[in-house]
Formats: sequence, structure tokens, C-alpha cells
Amino acid sequence: MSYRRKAACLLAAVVALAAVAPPLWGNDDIKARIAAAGDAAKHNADAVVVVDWKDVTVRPNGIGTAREHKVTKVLRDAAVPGLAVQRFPFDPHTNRLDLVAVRVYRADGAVEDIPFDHAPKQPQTAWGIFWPTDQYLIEVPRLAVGDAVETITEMTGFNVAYLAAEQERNAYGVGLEPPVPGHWHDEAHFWSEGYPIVEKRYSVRLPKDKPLQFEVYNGELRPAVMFDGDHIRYTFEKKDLKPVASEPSMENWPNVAPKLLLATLPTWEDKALWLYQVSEPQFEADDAIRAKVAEIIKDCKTDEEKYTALNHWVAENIRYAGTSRGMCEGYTIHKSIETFHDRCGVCKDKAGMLVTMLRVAGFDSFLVMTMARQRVDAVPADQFNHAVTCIRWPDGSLLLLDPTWMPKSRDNWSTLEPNQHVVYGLPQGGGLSQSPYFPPEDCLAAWKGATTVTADGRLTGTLHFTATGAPEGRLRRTLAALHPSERGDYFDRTFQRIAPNARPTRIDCTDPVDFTGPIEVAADFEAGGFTLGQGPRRYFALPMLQSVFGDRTIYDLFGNTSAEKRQYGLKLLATRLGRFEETITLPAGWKVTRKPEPVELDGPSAGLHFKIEAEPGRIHYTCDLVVKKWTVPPEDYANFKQVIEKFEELTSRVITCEVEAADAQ
Amino acid sequence: MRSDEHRRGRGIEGPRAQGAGCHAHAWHGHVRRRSALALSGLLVVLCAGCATPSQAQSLPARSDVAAPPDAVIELWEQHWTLQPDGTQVYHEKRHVRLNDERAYGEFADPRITYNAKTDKLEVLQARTRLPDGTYRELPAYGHVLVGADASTGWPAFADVQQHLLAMSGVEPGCVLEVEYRITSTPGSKRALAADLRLEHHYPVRKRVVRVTVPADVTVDAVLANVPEAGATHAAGPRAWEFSDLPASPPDPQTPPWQVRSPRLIFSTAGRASRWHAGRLAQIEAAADTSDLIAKLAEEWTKDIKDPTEKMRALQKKLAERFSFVDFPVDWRPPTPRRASEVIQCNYGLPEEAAAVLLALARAAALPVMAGIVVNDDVWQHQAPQDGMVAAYVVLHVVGARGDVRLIEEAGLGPLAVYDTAEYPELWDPHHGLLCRDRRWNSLTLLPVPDVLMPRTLLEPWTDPDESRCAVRGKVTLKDDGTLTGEFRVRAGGLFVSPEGLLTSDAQKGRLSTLVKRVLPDVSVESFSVRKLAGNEFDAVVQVKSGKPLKKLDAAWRLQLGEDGPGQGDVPLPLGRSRRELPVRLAGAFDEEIDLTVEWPEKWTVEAQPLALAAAAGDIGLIEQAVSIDGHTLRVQRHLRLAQRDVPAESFMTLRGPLNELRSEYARTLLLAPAKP
Repeated sequence: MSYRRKAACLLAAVVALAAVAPPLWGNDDIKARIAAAGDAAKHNADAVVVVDWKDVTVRPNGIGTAREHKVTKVLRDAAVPGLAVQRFPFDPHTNRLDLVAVRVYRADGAVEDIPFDHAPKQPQTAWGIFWPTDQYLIEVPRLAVGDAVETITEMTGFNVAYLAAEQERNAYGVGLEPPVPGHWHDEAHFWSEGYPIVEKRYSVRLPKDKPLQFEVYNGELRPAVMFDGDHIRYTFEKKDLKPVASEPSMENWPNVAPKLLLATLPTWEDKALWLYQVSEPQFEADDAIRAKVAEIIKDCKTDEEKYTALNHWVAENIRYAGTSRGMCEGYTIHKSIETFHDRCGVCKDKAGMLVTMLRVAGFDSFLVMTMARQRVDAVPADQFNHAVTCIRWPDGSLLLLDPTWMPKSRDNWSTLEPNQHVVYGLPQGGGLSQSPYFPPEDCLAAWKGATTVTADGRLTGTLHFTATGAPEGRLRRTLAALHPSERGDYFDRTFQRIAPNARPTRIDCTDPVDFTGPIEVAADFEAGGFTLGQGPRRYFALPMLQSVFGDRTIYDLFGNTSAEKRQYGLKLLATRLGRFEETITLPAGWKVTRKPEPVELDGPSAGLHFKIEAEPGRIHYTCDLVVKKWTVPPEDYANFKQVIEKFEELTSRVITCEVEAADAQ
Repeated sequence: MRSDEHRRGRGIEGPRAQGAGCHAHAWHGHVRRRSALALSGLLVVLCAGCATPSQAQSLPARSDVAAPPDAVIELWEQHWTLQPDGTQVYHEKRHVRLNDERAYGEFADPRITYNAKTDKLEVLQARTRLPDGTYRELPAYGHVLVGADASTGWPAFADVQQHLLAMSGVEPGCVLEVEYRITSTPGSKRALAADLRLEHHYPVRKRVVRVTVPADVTVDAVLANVPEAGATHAAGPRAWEFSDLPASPPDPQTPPWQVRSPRLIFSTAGRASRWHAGRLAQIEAAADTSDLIAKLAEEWTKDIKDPTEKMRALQKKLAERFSFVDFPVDWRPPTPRRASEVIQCNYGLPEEAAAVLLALARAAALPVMAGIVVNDDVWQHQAPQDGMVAAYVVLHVVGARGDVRLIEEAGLGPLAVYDTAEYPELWDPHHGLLCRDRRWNSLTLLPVPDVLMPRTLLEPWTDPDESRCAVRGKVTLKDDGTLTGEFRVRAGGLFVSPEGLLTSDAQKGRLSTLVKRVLPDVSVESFSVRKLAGNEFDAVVQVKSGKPLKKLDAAWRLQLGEDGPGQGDVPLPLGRSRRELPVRLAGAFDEEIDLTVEWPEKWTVEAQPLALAAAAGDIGLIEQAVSIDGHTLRVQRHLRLAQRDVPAESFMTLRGPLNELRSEYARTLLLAPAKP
């Protein structure tokens, strides 16, 4: 779906309507704040956000107005280009954006009001999701160090239809309707990835009789609840926000940085019921869909074969391209008849298409909302960016299917989405649930090799590789993205992981779009000069541990362990089991004098199990690299780091052989 | 490619041909004849280009090369019309068969870029022909207005937008049929011009190009990279038709398509000198002054006396504060905004940035004028157009200025130039002083009209003896596994960017880079520059290792870098074993490493680097010689690629040996310490 886009729209739009706006702060107050904000030496930054205020007023019908007031002071010249044009994005179908004021406060005390009556409005760029969104552009006169830019806007969003007399309209003049009539929610972030913020404030005024639930996550805010006539004003404030410092491959900021969630909707059950109600009319099928379903499942014998075939068909044949149906876009799915006709849609439309086809095939299927690879917290403030499908079995159990993430994969539910929060759009509603966990063996990448080292140091060998789950999907996508005549280029490159001069001499590979079984690659390869040494000893690495295809199947596990400690979780693609087995045949007269010690490491997030045997003329080893969590929490990082570093150590030249005098050069 | 495939090109009558005079009619006949010849020639060229891969391996994974192309362009028509009142009309029709979803990304959601203020867009057809022959029309919601990536977000260019067609019913075997027309108001565009790559990375079955102009308007056209290449200069409508152009799949690091692909260029801009003077006059007119420009010029050059340093300060300060916006010339307004306006909003196009720098320099009383630099691979003086400009620059006259001359081209406004006979400095507003280096080469400053200024060329690096990179030296290993040593680094040509070596820190950084590409374990302790002039850099460098070398078992391991000092600056596409097109290098070059390693007497050698030699005719050679004398080893490596464009076959001859050299056994010294 792009519930991500939806989330963006909702964040901006659900907080809506110009009812009673808080008073504008006077110039003098802003000037004083700008002066007090300090300089580059104080903040060690190119600019500082002096104030970042968002004040929302919600009407009895659940509609509100969000007034955003921001003042940014230039501390160094480097900030000037970034502030030269002020951009105000909005979705004209679901929002109306009113510019209230744009001002420049000069360092010498002068204040310039920037006219915006004729501010250019232009479409925003779009890729994949083609929902027409616009932005206003306002040029700011040349800035200098000490100057500050102030912007004040009001964003008007959804409304309810039954209040015709007071109905608010979108940018096209069409009456606005909210996604859940009468309800409002928002999510506010209290961190900065850019400039420091002196003061950030979020407030919301609601009618006294409209209950609000909220919770602050990942930190503390200064809260206040005050009576304000017929309203109650909730205020949350934080001062002196330093820019957050990211860590490599860290989990998403909303999981770890201060966040405020607010909602008037009582429960997730209500959200589930709403989802069911808004989606149900879209699942109508026509003869063309029914004929296609019959065609797809005609040779299927079991339920699993049927839903897998249908999931595959939607994944591979409904291309990811989103068009808009207007105000409802973003939270309602397209009619399946249209999606089938157009052969395109975003995640929600693909999920809806699959629901419809499954129903035609006799399954009890529904739409599901989820947040891809990010936590959903308890307050039912939407938080979703993705839509998927479920089957409800007669015993009430539920099976998740994701046709958006399934292309070139055999996973009916993506192994990239374990333990993910979901809300099922069932007729009876349903609370916040989690998707299933995938143990490491569900994301297997397995190498089995038989190699030979010759007396002159040449390596020849045979590799059999197979994979399931996430690593399989990655490799299939890589290969499927290449024309068959170009796939050899990828094999050339990946075999160079053994050595720059290594090359495959034979490749037999599963067709990447043949989903009847796990991907398998059988290859012969060779590399000259694989061993080092011309004297009495030879040194070499274990070829399979160089992990040909590892650039697609286990690459995410490496390069993230240089830090001693981490503050935030380390986000990986998925759990993983890297399984290696190899037999290396050695020339006569070579004696293994050094080999790695067996390894038995096991921890809450990762493990490594390495065994090796050496006998005259032969080395045999097995190695299991096990990653049990797709997000390694900070408390497990030491375990993960130890495992990965030990594995990397095993990939180096860990074998030494003594050779008989005749072989020594 | 099927050998029996029928490929033929033919000239077709222009829409006005029937009514045209004898001269025009005869000329059309000429076009017909030339195009036919051109296409037979084209066939020859492309066959040569599609020769059997030089080092093809009989891998089963590659046996499926007969699989159909992911897409076929069945019809591609482009028609430019210049009406008597100056209105320009662009009409395009394209039918693309999609055989595989791999091609969806390129074709399934076509974007039509236009200017909402000056252009009228008519989508004439947008439909999908399904494999069963039925059609699926594009629904209304499939028409979406979106911003163009490169121009969006800048108020001055807010009218540039894209009409996106999210095509319906896309599936393998379908044909997307899109046809549209853009009518541009008179004056909203400069000359009628285009520079067309005739082929595509997918096969093209039929390609038609038409140019329709009033009978008194001359069209200059050039057909290039075909045996019958040539230029024409004639009035009236023109048309070309080509059929069965084979696919030209991409290879990494190829020469630009303009020098290797069939190319058709046309322009109504007239003589190159006129086009050039007109463009300069526009920048000249835009380089006005204002209080702010005067203030900034004074502030940014305060206390600086040297004119070159003044220019450097102006350019640097401007670049630090300016957002450089760049997008295709077809989308740009016909004239640049005034510098006084641009400096206020602090963003602009390359030509606008040049006008700002020109205005600032003039405000600082520097003798400057506008200049245009073109890429030698792209420039065609017979059909000049804005898209061929590589950089709009400011020429700073550092020698005798001569008189100021005013040049007037009819309707273009005056152009003031110094009548200098000196080489000027060329300043790019974004990147600074142009020196012939790795970034700035294969470029020509178009000669300033009516001035005796010598021709300024930033020639490509085609002579390997000009671009030498030699690192010679000796390191001594100590008992504790650390090492110290000294290197003589001599770099020239493309390996030296004079503007990048202005400070001691920059020099040390460059030397460190080059030395570490030879021995990654060392760092630069100190250095002395023997020579730094133009593109010559000669220095002596003292190095040491910060910590002991790594050990392999009990042996110390000293390893040369995987890529030598040269390859860091001249990357080579060594990954794939299949190649059809030449490799375009940053330049021809010659790399030498001469490394002597000395170790304690009682240590013994466990492994030494490999000796190797290979050559590809006169085009390239690789040699590595290794000798041991007692407790000293000497590695001498020589890599020379004598051409900037290396033929595929030659490159593949060298790929294997180059990858051998990159392997550890070719660059590792293992030394066993004495047993206690």
C-alpha cells in the first residue's frame, strides 16, 4: 500500500482544520528567542531550530487544524543553501495547506515578511506510488549568518461528511472525509536528525467530552493537561534536542527515539473492524478474475498449492505502481476488478487482489495492516505502512500472505517480516497481533564443496549451493533481474570472492522463476595460486567459507561489528543459517600442521559451530553460522560481534601444510 | 543477431516535400540515397560491434543467450516542427513490445516532460495492446502529474513537470502504444535541435525522424558513426527512416555513445560561431550587477591582491553557498536569469552560475569574460546546440588583455570580449579552476569570437608516457615486524591534479594514497616535494608501519595492494569475462612499482610474489619481475595501457593476468623469523 505514504498523509492531514488557532507569537518574542539561541560555537552546527511548535485543535467531529511554527537560525554559511527555498508539501486530495507567514529575521533586527500570494505550486516527484501530491515553494531572500527564517502554516485534512455546514474542503474544493469518522490520531517525533532544536512543542486541544489516549515512548517529555474553555489542551515539550547520532544498520528511529502517540480511537479492535468495513466492498470478482483463478489453480491439489499459486500470480503479475482514486487513496484498497484490469497497484491493492482471488478459490480471506520491519506500539494511532492478506481457517487460525514482498521468492509470508505487528481486518475485529517468527533454518544458505589443491597450489572444485527464505529470495531477484545472456556476469563476479583470479568453469542454476523447489546452483571452478608458499609450507584459506553468493545471501551480517558497543539494535535482513561443508583433497605428501580450533559459540542472538578434521591428503570441515534474531538488541551485540568476528577469522588463511621436500621450490 | 535479418533504411518524403521546389526535392532524393547507404554501413558497424565475446566461457548459464530481448521497440517516430511564427511542435509516437518484466521499469510508466507555462501537451494515445490483440485504454486515473526529479523544488523552474502515464494491463507480450504532441509557444525555446542516439539497448524495428521547418529555414544535420556519415546544410523539411537496428546492450566503462553509436544531430541554430556568440551574449546580458554583488565581491576578496587568488576566493565562496541545479537543456528556459536575481535566491543552472561568477569577478575589477567548454566526444560544430556544452565558464585574462571589443550578432545583443592573445584561466563556478586532469580533459574551450586567443584544449590522456605513476623505494623490516622506508613517488598527467595539490596537507594526502596502494600497511611520516609543476609531481616520502605486520601462522606477512597506484585512478572493469565494446579508460597510463624489501638476516622466505608477463599487442602489457638476493627482495611491476579506448579483445587478453596480479599469491611476501 503504501501505507507509508498513507502514514505521511495522515500525520500531516488527520490533524486538521482551522478552528481556534493559538495566537501568533509576537516578533519581539521570536527575536528574543533567536538572540538567545546562540551561535555556532554553542551548538557546533550550521543552523539551529529555535522553535518547532505544532499546535493542533480537534473539533467534536474528530477534525482538527495543525498549525506548525518553525524558526531556524543560520549559524554558518553552509546552512544557507538548504534554507534558500522553503518547501511545503501536501496532498491536495486529503489536505489543504494554508501558508500563514514566512519571515526573515535579520541579524541586525530587521524583519522581512516574504509575500507568498503567488508562491509556485508544483507536483512532487513520484516513483512507484503515483499519487498526485503537490508542494508550495517559497524563495527566501539571501540569508547570512545570524539571520533566521520563520514559517507558519496550517494544514487542513480529513473531515466528516455529515457536518455539511461546517464541512472543510481539500485543495481541490472537495469536501473532506476522514478515514475513521469521528476519530483522530497523530504521531509526533521528538528527535532531530539534522540541526539541534532549542524547543520542540506539540499540543492538541480536544473537546472535553472526547477522550484521548496517549503514551510517550523511548524517552521523556514534559507533559501538561490544562482546561481551555470547552476544550482540554494536552501539551508535550522537550528542550535542547541534540541531533541524534545514528549507528550502522540501526533499527528505525521510531523504535528507539522519543515518540508520542495519540489517538481517540479506543482499541485496535475498532481499527480492525474499520478495516474490514472499508475493504469489504472492494473484493467483488468478475468473470475475468474467476476464469484466471480457475486457470491458476487447475492443477493444484491441496489448499497450500492453491494459495501459493495465487499468491505467486499476484506477486509476479500485478506490478507495483500506484494510481490514486482521490481522497480515500492511502487507506482504502482499489476494487479488485480494477486492479486485475490494470495489472498494477501498490501493496494494499495487491493484497486486495489476492483476497479476492482467494475468495473465488473458496478460501476465507481478509485484508491485514502491518508496519514493515518496525514496531507498532500500543496506542491505536495507525502506525501502519503496509498491507497484506490472510486466510482464516475453519478453526479460526490465521495464515499471513504477502504478495508485495513475494516476487522472486518462495515465501508466502516474507521471512523479512518476522514478529511483525499486524491488525487483521476480520468481521469480528481483532487486536494487535504478531506475525510468526522464522527460525534460522528457514533462511538457509548452504554451501557444500569438494575441492582439490594441487601440488602447484591450484584450486579446483565443485560447489553445490542452495538456499531458502530470505537469502534465496535475494539471489533469485539478482538473477531474475538479468537477461539470461547476462547472468554469467554475476557468476564471474561472485566467484571472485574466492580469489580475484577464480573463475567458474561450469554453472548449472535453477531458473530463478522456477518456484517448484529451493534454488540450487552447481558449479565447477578453478583458481591458480590458491596457496601461498614456495618453501616447506603452504598456506591457504577454506574455499567454501569465502562464500560465493554471499554477496547476496549473507552480506548484511558483516561490516557492522567494528564498534565495541551499540546503543541501538542492529537491523539485519532476517534470521539466518549459513551452513558450510567442504572436503579438501590435498596432494600426497602434504601434512596439515595448522588448522583452526573447533568453535562452539552460542548466545541469544547468534552462534557459530565449527568442526574440522584433517588426515593425510584430506581436510573436512563443517560450519554453521546461526543468526537467531533479525534485530540484534544492544544487550546481545557482544554475542553477535564475537560470532561474526570469529567467523571472519575462519575465512582467512587458516590452514598451514608442510610439504615434502620434493614439492618445496 | 540473425544474419539473414533484413535491415534497410530509406529516406521518406517530408510532409512538405510535394510542394517543395526542385532543389528540395532533389535533396530529399539525396537523403534517401544517403540513408540507404548509411544503413547498409550501419549494419557493418554493428556487426563488428556484436562480435563473439572475446573470452566467452561455455557456461550453461549463458547458453540461453537466444532468449528474446526483454523489449523490442517496434516503432519510434519523432517529429519536430518549426512553424513560421516560431511555434515549435514535438510529436512522438512509440510502440514498445515488452517480453519480460525486466523492461517494465523503463517503459511501463512513461513520463512526458513539459513546461506547464509555455507548452501545450496533448496525449494522443496511451494504450496497451494485449497479447490477444485487444486494446486496453489508459483510464483517467492513469494520467498523473509529477515533478521532474532534477528540477523539482526550485521555484524558478516550477513549471517544468511531467505527465506520467501509468500504463494499464501491462504483461509480458503486450505492446505499449504512446503518442503525444507538445506545442511550445514562440520564444519559449531556442533553436530547433536534437542529438539522437538512433539505436537503443533493445532492438528497434522502425525508427523515423522528421524535421519540418519553413522553406527558408536551414537545417544543419549530421549523421555520424556510420560508414556513410556526413553533414548536410539545407533548407526545408527533412526526414530519415531506419529499420531493424539491433540492440546495443550496455557494457561497463565504454566510450560515450556519441562516438560509437549511430547518431543523428540536427539544429537550426546556424553556424557554430553564431550559436556560440549568441549563447555568450545571453550570459553576458545576465551578468548584471547589484549592490549585493558588489558587496559580496568586496567582502570575499578583501585583503587579496593576486588576481588569480581573487578569482579563487570568489569561486570558492560562491560554490560553498550556492545550490547548483542541473537538468536537461530541453527543459531549461531559453535565457538565463540575471545574476542580481540569482545571487539573491542562491540557486541556479550552470549558465546562471557562470553569469553570477562573471558578475562577481567584474565587481572585483577582474578582467573576465564568459566562455563555453565542450566535450570533444560530443561536440559537433556543424549542428551546434546547447546540449553539447560541458561547462559554462568564466575566462580570466591573466596576461595582456588587449582592447575590449564589442561583438554584435543580429538580434543577440552585444558581447564584450578582451582582444587578448593570451591563454586565459578557465573558472567553473562549481568546481573551480579548470586544469587538465582526470576530471577536466577531452574538452575544448570554444574560441572566443573575433579574438586572437590561442585555442585552449584540455586534451584527453591518450599518451601513456604522459601519465606515468611510478612508486620506487625500499622498506626495511625490523625484528619486531614493523617497517620503515623511503619511496620516491613520481606522478604525471592524469595522476596529478594541480588544483588538488595546493596545500601541504593535500600533497601529503595524495602521496599517502599512492604509497598505500603499493603497501597498505604503511603510513606517511614525512615527505619533501622535489617538483610540483603543471601535471608533474615528484616527491620523496618516508614511511613506516604503525604496528607490526600481521602474521600468518608464524610468518610475517607483507602484502602489496590489490590494485596498484595507477588502478586507483584508472579503474578497470575486471569483474566480468564477457565484453563486446571497447573499454574507455580515464586515460592511457604507465604504472611502475619498484619495491625493495629488506629483512633481518636470519629470517627465511616462506612465500614470495609471483613473476608474470603478458601483453596485448601494442595496446597493453603487464610485467612483474621478482628477485631475491640474500635477505632482500625486489619486486618490479610494470603495467602499461597505451590507449584510452582499449578494444574488447585486447582488454580481455589482459583481464586474466591483471586478476592474477590482484590475487594474493602475486603480491604476498611471507617471512619466517629465525627460530629462537
